[in-house]
Amino acid sequence: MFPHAASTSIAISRAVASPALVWLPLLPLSAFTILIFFGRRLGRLSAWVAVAALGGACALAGSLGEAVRSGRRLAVAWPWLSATDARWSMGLSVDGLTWLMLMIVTSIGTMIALYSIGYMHNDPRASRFFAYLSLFCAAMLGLVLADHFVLLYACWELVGLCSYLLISFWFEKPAAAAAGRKAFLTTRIGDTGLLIGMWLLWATWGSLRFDQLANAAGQLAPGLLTAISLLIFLGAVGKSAQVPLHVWLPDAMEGPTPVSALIHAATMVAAGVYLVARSAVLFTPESRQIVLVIGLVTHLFAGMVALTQTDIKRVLAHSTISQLGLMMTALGMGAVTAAMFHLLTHAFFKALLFLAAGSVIHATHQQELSRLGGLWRRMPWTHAVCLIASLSMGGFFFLSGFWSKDAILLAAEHAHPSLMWGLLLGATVTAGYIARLYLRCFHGAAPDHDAAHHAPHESPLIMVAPMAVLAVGAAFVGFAGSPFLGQPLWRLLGDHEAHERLDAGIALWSGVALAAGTGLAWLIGFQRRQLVPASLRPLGHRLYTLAANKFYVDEWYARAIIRPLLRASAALAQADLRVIDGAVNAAGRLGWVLSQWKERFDRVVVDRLVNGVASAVRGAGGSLRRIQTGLVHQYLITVVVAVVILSVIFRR
Amino acid sequence: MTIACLLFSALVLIGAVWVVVLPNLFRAALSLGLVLLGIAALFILLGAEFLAFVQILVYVGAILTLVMFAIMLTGKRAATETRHAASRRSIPALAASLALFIVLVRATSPLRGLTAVEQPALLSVIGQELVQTFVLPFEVISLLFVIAIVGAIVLASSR
Amino acid sequence: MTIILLRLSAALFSLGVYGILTRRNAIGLLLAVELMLNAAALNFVLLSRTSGQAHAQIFALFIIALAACEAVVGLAIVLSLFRCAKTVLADQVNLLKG
Repeated sequence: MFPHAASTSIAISRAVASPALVWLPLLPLSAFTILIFFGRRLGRLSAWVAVAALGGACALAGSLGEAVRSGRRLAVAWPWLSATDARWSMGLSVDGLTWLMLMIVTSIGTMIALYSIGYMHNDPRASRFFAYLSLFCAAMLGLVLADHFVLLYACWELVGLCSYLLISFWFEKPAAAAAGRKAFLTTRIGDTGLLIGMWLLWATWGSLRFDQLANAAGQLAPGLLTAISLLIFLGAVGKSAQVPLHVWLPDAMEGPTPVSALIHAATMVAAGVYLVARSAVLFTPESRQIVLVIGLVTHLFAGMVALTQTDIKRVLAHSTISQLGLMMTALGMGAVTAAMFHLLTHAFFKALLFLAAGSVIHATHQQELSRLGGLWRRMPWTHAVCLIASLSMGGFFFLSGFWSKDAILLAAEHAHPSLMWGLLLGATVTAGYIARLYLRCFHGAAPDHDAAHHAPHESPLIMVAPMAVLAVGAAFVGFAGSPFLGQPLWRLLGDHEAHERLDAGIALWSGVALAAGTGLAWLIGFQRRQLVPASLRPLGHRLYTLAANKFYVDEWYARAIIRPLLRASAALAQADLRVIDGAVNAAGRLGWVLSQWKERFDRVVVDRLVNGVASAVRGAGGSLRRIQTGLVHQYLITVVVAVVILSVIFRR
Repeated sequence: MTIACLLFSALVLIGAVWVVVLPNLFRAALSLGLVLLGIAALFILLGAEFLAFVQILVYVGAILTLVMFAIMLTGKRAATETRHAASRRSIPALAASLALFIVLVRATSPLRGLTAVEQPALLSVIGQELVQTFVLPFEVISLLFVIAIVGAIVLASSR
Repeated sequence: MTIILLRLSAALFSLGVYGILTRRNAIGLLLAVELMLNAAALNFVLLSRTSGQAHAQIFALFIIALAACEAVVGLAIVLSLFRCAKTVLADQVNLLKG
């Protein structure tokens, strides 16, 4: 069904040793260490430490580009568990895929760090924020640099930890604390799948190094490969918020907006996509089918929910889920390069959208769309970058999103036509919700401001400048994958399926989708016109309510899974209290009772025995004492009697 | 011979009974004198004249006198005994002494067939034996006399 | 004669024992003791007569000598006891009561 699947493996070239690689994760890690210990003393300076570390990592990654583009693979490894066994040496390796991720993480990370200086300006715990941010970047870099599943898993977990720390950064808010917990626990389910998959691979193949995966794929049984790949995919489902483990991402919006931008739009959630891309060679047609289905369902499902949300960040969160579903769909079709291309473009425009939303929130202290409007006049820069990002996301001709989405549509067309129509529907929905967001936020009537909030103004330069840089990226980075510049991205990722020219049909259809979506958003979302006929209105209303409540997934989970689990744990706690504590207390009481018996026995029997002996002796002594009368004649009579008796006894 | 023996034996017996029974100590002492004299007579009958003389000289003459002195020195009240205390003790004492008497009789019954020899021991033989065979007890008794005298003086001297 | 005297000495001895056990007065005790000694001496002399040897008579002599010593010392004790305890009654002197 997917004839291109076999040839889209990432090429494994011979490695070139380069110990400098270790600085890539080490720079942000040292920034983290410094900021954790001295952050409070550094104060305002702590942000610049983080920026410096990330910027340095970005420069270093950039310098490696030359070598990587010429097809070499850079690596460094150390023996970990065994000095001689090559299977247990772990290290860092950079090939095309890794270098792409490196550039994404470091460049966007640096921009967001700069932005955060302005956003977290008044927060008393800002130094802690930058410390966590640095740790996150270090872990993410470690994740993409890893050449061994175990190292990847360690960084995977670390990234999850940083996500938890950053989501619940304002832990005074109970909603934030709960959201952090929810994110951690939900991704944990996925992580367990990944761990089991890793274990299965180790048990059957014996090596967990990435450069050995192709050999494993060639020699293991297909059923086994399906199982392993699906378990690995389960990890990706958790981390990249696919259905059914997507519930944590909307709640994760409780964290600061830079966090949402970096972690939950550009990088961490993309780690799942990276993982599937990295281990793509293990995926059999059956497992790819499942990936496809889940990706497609997620894409459409989340897209529909995004249409109905009223909080800016919630719209963007569901949009992220939907776009990740699109990437998974691409991976499910075997179009790994297309998926990575979309990851690249999505990172730029989604991060930019989040930063713009943060700028709006920072200026207006509002997140509800109903209370926003007409900001294009007051916040021109924010408006401009948001427009660019929205157009890119919608797939406006020539901007990045257009090229990446078309690559996926092209792959879908080759795979199965109905798949292409499904993706076009998704594209329409995408255009719809992003247009709705843009129009409601920046156009229309501005709401009245009460005396408490002064009129919104543009954000400071420290926030606007990074957004502008990212806007350039959001606009033009797509050319790396376009046919015009010789498909450098395809060559980078070692894919030989590049297309030399523009596919007009696909471009046309995606343009139609964009127009339709935008138009519907204008009419329904902005102008509030009722297009649905009266007879279908109740149905429409019901569908709307269903989507607005995110299809009640959270509620269903709570009822079916969480509450029974809590009930079971409460029951077990009761059992522990009654049975185990009861047993322990009973044992204690038994000991007490036994000691009472023993005491009584000791008192009644033993003491009586001892005292009895003593009193018997005393009595006997008392009785015998009466012989000692001190009266001589009594002694004498005794003597006489004794003599008589003895002479009777001894008579001869 | 036998009649004289019986007569003197009866005398001695009665006297002995009086010694142990009479409440008045003075009379008991005098009864003891009677007993001693009776025994001296029996000694003579048995041919031990020297011993009879010694008996009278030492026992009656010295010891009995001493006892008299002691009785007089310990006051009048002490010289009489009350009855009741003695009666309480007398029955077991009687039984014991009766038992002893029976034992002694039975013990000495093998000797009843003995008869007197023609010649009693000569005094010269006694003297000779005293300083030859029994010289050690003889000397020891002298020492004993000295000890007794010194002890008595020490005990009886007023402190 | 032998039987008579044997029985007599046994009786004297038993009477002496009876006297020791019965007499309250210490001097009375001494009198009974003298009785016992005399019984023994009588026995010895009898034996001397029936054996013809002088040894038994010498023993009797020693008995008399010993009786003298013992009477002296005993009476001295009684006198000093009388001075201490103001009594010569044996059953009132029970300081040795255990």
